[in-house]
Amino acid sequence: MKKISIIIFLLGVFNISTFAQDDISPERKLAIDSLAMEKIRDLEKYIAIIGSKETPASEAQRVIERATELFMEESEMGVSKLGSDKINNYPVREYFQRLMALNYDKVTITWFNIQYISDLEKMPDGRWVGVITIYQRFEGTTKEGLKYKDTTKKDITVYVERKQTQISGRTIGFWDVLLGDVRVAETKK
Amino acid sequence: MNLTVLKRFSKVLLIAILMAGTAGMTGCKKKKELAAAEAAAAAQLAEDITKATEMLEGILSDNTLDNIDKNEATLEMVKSMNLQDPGVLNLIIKAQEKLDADRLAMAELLEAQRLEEERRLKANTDNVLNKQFAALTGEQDFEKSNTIINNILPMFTSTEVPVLVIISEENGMKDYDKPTTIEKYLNYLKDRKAYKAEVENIVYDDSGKIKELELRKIN
Repeated sequence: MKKISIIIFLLGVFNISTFAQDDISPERKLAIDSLAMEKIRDLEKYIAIIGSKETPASEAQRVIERATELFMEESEMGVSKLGSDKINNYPVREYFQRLMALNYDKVTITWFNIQYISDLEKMPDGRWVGVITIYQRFEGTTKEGLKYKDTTKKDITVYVERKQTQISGRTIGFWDVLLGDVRVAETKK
Repeated sequence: MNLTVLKRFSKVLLIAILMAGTAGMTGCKKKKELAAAEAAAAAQLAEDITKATEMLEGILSDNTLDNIDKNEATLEMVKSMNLQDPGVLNLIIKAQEKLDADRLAMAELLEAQRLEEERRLKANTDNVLNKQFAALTGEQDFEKSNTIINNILPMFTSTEVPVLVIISEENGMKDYDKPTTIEKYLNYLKDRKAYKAEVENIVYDDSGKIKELELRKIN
């Protein structure tokens, strides 16, 4: 019985120290939250550039590379359309290519109401995971002047992981933010 | 016969007396010459000591750091005179100590000047970079943006120069965003149209080009 008590005590101490190591200050947590939100803002800007018909093709291709780098491998982007319940999920690179090739004369994409719907929480594997929701306003105008508009609510899973790398012989600790699947939650006019 | 012998003896005696007289005169002359030489050497030594003392005092009274090399050469010259005068030897020690202190002070001065130059250069580069980055975010035209990028890149050793962005710092421990390269960062600014950071640290190579850039995110 005494031995069992000691083992339980030691396990308790170990758990406490492990928890203490994992714990980060509110200031650092805020900085990570902000960094993840920044990546969402980056994606917003990249999508607007890729979709815009004023963007030279070479620039759009370059931005597709940058935008794809924001995502984890095999991540998908949900796409919906007014008047249809069907939601297509494309690998992100394919989504960006399709976005660039949209058959409109003018495309404007803006995001608004960007916010966390699920705060970053630490998972057992050490990564931090959260969900950010955005509203995307799409407006496409054809050569003939016909306009298509919709607003889609999308949920984006965000993964944040603490990593290290060597720069000029120094070890640098950094937070790697990667986006996961982007799921359509709702589409309306 | 006796007269002949006597005459010969007289001649020999005269010669001996003459020789003895000549020898006595020569020894006396040498003594005088030696005394004169010793007096001259003593005078030369006194003159050397006076000269060395003046030179050493000259070194000691130099309150600038402008003549360290010249003073070192003077000290070496005095040392090479091998004077054993206690006063001179004492001054040599003092002069050596002073020059050692001067060398140290000069090294500190040069280091302070180097740091000041580095700080000035960094402040200047910080300013230039901050302005160029801001200009990039304000440019709407892709071609003009690329021109700005092409103007900035030559300040760096290569397009692959690492750019680190500090997102937070706690107890001296820095948290960074994922490291990027200067080319990608400049294109990022071009795309994002926002520069929310400031230059924190710049590492230069020997030719004065930037080989590492550290920025700090500002909100």
